[in-house]
Amino acid sequence: MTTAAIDPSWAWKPFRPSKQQPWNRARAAHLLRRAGFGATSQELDAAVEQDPDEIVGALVSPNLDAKFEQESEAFAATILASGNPKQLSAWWSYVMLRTPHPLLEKTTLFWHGHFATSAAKVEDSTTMYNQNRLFRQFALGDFGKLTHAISRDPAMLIYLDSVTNRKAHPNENFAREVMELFCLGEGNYSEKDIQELARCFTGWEIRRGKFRFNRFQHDTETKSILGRSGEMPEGESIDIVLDQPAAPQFIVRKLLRYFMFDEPFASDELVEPLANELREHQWDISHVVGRILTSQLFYSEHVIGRKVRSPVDLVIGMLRTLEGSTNSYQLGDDLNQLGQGLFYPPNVKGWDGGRAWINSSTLLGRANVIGRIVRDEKTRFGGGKLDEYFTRLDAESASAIVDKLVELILAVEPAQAVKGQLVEVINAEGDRSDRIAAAIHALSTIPEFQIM
Amino acid sequence: MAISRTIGLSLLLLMVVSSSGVADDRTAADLLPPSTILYAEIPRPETLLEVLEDHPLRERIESLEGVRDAYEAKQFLQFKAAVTIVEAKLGKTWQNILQSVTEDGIAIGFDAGTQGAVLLIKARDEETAPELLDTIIELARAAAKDAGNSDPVKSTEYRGITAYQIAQAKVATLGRWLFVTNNPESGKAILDAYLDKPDKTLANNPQFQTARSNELDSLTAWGYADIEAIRKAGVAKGLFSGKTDNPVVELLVGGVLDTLQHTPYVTASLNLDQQTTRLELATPHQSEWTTEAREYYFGPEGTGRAPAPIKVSNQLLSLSTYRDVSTMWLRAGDLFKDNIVDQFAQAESVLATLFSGKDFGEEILGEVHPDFQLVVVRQTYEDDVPQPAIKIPAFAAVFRLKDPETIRPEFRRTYQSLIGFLNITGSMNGQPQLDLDIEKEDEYQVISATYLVEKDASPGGLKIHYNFSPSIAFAGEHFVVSSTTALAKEIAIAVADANKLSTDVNSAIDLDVSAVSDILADNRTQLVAQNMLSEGHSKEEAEQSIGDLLELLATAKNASIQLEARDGTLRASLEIDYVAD
Amino acid sequence: MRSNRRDFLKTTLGTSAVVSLGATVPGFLRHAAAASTNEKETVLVVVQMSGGNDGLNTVIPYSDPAYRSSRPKLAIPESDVLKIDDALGFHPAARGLADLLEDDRLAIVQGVGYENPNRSHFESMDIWHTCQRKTDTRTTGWLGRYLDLSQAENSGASSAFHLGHEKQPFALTAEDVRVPSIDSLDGFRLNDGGDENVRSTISKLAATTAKESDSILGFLQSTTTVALSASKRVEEASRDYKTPVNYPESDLATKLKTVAQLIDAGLGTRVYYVTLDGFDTHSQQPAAHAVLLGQLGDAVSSFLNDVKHHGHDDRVTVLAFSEFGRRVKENASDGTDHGAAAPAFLAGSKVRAGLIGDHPSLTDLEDGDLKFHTDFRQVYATVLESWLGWSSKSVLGGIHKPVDALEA
Repeated sequence: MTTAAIDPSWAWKPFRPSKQQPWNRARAAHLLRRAGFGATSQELDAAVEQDPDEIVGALVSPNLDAKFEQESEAFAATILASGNPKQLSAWWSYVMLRTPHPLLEKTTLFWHGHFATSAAKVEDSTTMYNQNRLFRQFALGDFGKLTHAISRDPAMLIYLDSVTNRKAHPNENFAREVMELFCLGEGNYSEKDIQELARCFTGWEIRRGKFRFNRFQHDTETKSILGRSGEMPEGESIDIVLDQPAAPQFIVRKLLRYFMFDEPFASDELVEPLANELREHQWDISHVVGRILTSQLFYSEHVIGRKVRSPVDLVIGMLRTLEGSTNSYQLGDDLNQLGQGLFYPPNVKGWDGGRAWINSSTLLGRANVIGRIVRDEKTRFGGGKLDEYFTRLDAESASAIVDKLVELILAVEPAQAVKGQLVEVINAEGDRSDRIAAAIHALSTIPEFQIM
Repeated sequence: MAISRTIGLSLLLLMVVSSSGVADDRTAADLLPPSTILYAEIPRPETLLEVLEDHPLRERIESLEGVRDAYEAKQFLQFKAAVTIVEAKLGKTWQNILQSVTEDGIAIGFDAGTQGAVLLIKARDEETAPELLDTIIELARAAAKDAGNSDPVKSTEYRGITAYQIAQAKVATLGRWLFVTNNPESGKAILDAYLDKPDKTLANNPQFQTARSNELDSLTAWGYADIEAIRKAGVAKGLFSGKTDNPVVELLVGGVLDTLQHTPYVTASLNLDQQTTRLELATPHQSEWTTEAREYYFGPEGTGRAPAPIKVSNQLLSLSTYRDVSTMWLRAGDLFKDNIVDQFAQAESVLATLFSGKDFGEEILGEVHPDFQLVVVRQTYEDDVPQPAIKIPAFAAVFRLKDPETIRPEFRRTYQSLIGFLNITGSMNGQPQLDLDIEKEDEYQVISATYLVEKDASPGGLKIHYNFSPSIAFAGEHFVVSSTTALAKEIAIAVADANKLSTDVNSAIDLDVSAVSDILADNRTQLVAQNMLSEGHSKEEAEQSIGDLLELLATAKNASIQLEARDGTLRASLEIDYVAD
Repeated sequence: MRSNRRDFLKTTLGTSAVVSLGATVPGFLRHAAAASTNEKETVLVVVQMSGGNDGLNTVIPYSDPAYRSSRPKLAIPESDVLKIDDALGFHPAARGLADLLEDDRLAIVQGVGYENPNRSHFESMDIWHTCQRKTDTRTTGWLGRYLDLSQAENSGASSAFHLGHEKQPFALTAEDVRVPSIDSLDGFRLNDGGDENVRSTISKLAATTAKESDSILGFLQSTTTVALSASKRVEEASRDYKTPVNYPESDLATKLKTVAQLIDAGLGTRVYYVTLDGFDTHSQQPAAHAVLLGQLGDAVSSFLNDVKHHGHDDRVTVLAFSEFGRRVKENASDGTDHGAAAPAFLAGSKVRAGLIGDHPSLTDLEDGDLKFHTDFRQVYATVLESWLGWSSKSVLGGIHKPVDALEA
């Protein structure tokens, strides 16, 4: 099944609020869920007063001030001192939970899954962190430059067993992934192209954690890739790959899957207009992401509630929408347990997403993790307990609390009976905060909680 | 519910506050039955109150965030409201009321005969306690009525005395005494004793008389436990089984467990003043109680003594002890369950691989005398040298060799192969490499291994490895294994100079709390970052909690623990010295 | 557009809420729940002996003079050997294995290894896990590939589990299927945070939400049902689990007991993976190796006895292997160094009990190591074809002749 039924010219027209589709809290919540990790009630108050285009504009070109960047760097450097890559998962969970630039972080996570590299193999936390910084630097920037940078990234080359690459035996690992997983996708190249591309990367080595070009091991003969010939020094071959029409299509399709819907598979017709724009805008990712988030399609029933939440969307999302803070080490472990260990993707393909997140043990795990977090004594909501938090949101009665939870967390309205059950949970005897925690825990088991 | 909690709190406070009063010759022990197995008393609550009033810790604790929050909690506010009412009713300040009520001591006992606990409080006069009790009951009734609940206070008569039940507690006043118990039978026993003056009481139980301190009046608090009775009752079987099944716990308390299997009683004495807190646990002890397998703990005939502690600069902790670890290792089969013994066998195989094929229990541990020391110091760093981002204290173990001349070259070779082994495995994992060096003087020699500094060290500071320069040193019969070269050398010089004194205790631990503070302060950035991650705090909140922690530590100066077994007594003492304001 | 969909959701959910409040579980939910309770499916339990097991002191050629001359200190005296026949016998600590053999529940596949053996733990283990060499692009493990290919047969249930704290074995890495690693049964239980009210509400919610036309919600709905019923089964199984078998006190035994409970809970999981580490006995081997063989034999035999007691013995097979054997000649520190071929074990009621293949010669060596005659992929092929019912060619990437160790 594909999206053939969707008319591309309708899909990519900018969304304009109207009487039928007013700009309201539900649509703002949808935008901020997809372009980040969900919105707090206060953020929704602010968002409905703004123009959706303005909001997206600010998200795709975040205003990173020097002080913020300096503090983030210092924090990361301190965490790196222990040398334990497991701490990185905790660090990134913390950053996602508190970042003022959610779309930047969400897109950084996208590239981590795209150029998947696991600390399980790389083992060195600084090397992993440097790669992460690269993703953040280019997350909403030039994909061409990112691809060039990643081809010399120590973590990537260690992960793909390419720390040495001699001209007598070119290592095809990295070349294969450039074509298959990073830029083109299967069916858009031949085995011969891979072999020729591999020759271009000979002499690219990692020594003591640093990239080094070994000119004695570099193959300087003529190569022939995807119909073009030449010596192709200095990564020129990567530009040839990026020049393929399949390249922008491949990236756009993946972005659509990440920001819009898991299913169905986006048709060529739907992808084509944005792929052309990506090329016209010199691989500027922020342009395409901006177009996606401001399109008519984005606010349609093809998109709303059509994505299975990743563990990050689920856990970080629940916490962020309720201004939650908690033990990040535990959070890192939880994400790993649910199948999305940060810095630990399962293999070179990254996370498959969609239905692959769900099986009976991850579903139990999701409920157990949410239940654990809301009851953890280190978890605070808006700096305090749940009852105080909802009082501050003017949600005093059990039904007001349930409505608030539904508005903030769920993309799809659950059955009235579900809400009734939750009201009963909150009204049962016991400490008010414990009762609200129990309601969130129960809510986390319904199918609607798993989608966004 | 709230009112019963309030009452609980007031009863608790009753124990803490008091002042001076009229004489009366009966003590709590004269009223408790001889079958009392746990007993504790605060003979002069007034003194304790004075100490607490201007203790250096008090202000610091009260300023902590968590404590400040507790003062604003609903329950505390309710309690304060109740106090105001009581004050108005009795026409005295709360302070005054408590002083009169607890004037002549507070005691608590658990009686095995009636299976109940009794709290006995002796007042200055016969009026204040009944007045206070009446007011509390009145309050509780008013609160219940207000909430539409039934009467929360029940009363009964026993031999003409009225006793009240509030929540789980039964309360009665009689003469200058206020009694609180959880069991009516225990309550009756106390009232009987008060009225009948029986011959047999806890006070004239011979074992209790032997145990009772004759310096009772100078103590802040004193406690007694009839271990024989507890043992026979079959409670806390694990504690009296004599087995630990955990090698670390065994090393720490193994010998004590033997004593607990035989001893009749244990006493605890607490001394508290502005400068010092001292807690001492004591119990009768005979060296024949120690099983053969545990001879490693107190030594043959209980003669094992800890060596005199070495003093070096920036010392954080010193542990000096007698433990024949080699014997313990070889005796593992008698001391532990099979699965632990299996782990010893597996550890033996791994350790032998590390120590070039030597048998760890016999050929390594067996070559040193059973007395040894552990020294931990804060490391100092030169300003111009790159520093590790996480600063770990240096630590060293000091042993005496049985046959220094023969074993020295053996140990030296073992050390060198170990460093070689670490370098080979380290280089496979891309870790920095160790560089060997030897320094020989007349009195001592130090063999050291230092991590070579990488050319492009990360800006955040060096890796954690750079806290270590694993070294060994020989000085006379002494053998030092140290995490840094500097510490190895300092100890080698110190022991070469020192005369070989031993102490008269089995183990002694000294902790310099200000050095702990300094090390935490050295790592403040790290601690703040870790606190952010582990507590979910913002940077500001994390700075605040680490600041609080350092403040609190700044109150204490020193802490020491001693364990000694001699003159028929086994004594464990803990002493904390405070920084006076 | 959107409001239409919302209305639709409200109506369907509302109606079904009424229906399901009748307390009877709707048919499609029962169906989904039943799908995961397959009591007939065979189960493979892999026990990995990490570190390189000394095969020569496990299955001992006690009458071979070359054995004694190569192992002057480590050779097990003939009188202590638990004899299998007049040439071979078990290490005296491997009583559990000997008992299984006695009971016709153990197959010993001798001389297992591969061409051009690698003596690095990591590399050799990777070879066993992926069936590929370092020069190949290794992205998946052999069990991972099996799980990928067979996933269509599974509905919602996790098709494999790894029990333990250590890093997940490469063997389980798949393209599409994610294998959970868990420490204990807690990973399968719905944790209600000690709140009974939450538990009952969760069951009510599961009954409240309706069958959805929306494909993703429908999928989530049925998986939730499967998950809750699996949790309930595990809960019951662990609470009511009674076994006359007295498991020894070891990590391996604890893990295998958990596996036995999960099998009894009928989770529909086909593969369980556990490891026993510590076989790298370079020095002071005798005591350490005896402990390990004791743990292995006692844990596996207790497990199989337990499984038998619960009537699952016809569908459970254990495969135990190590990344390599150890050198024939002992070293100077009462230990042995990394070697090559060694025996692998298959245990369970359906194995063809006894010795399979000859013991490798102790005189005809390759670089001082025993020569293999059975490729480890043949052992995998046996398990895949005869036990899991899958074509081994697609999993192993070539044709490997199964050994005759399992009843088809």
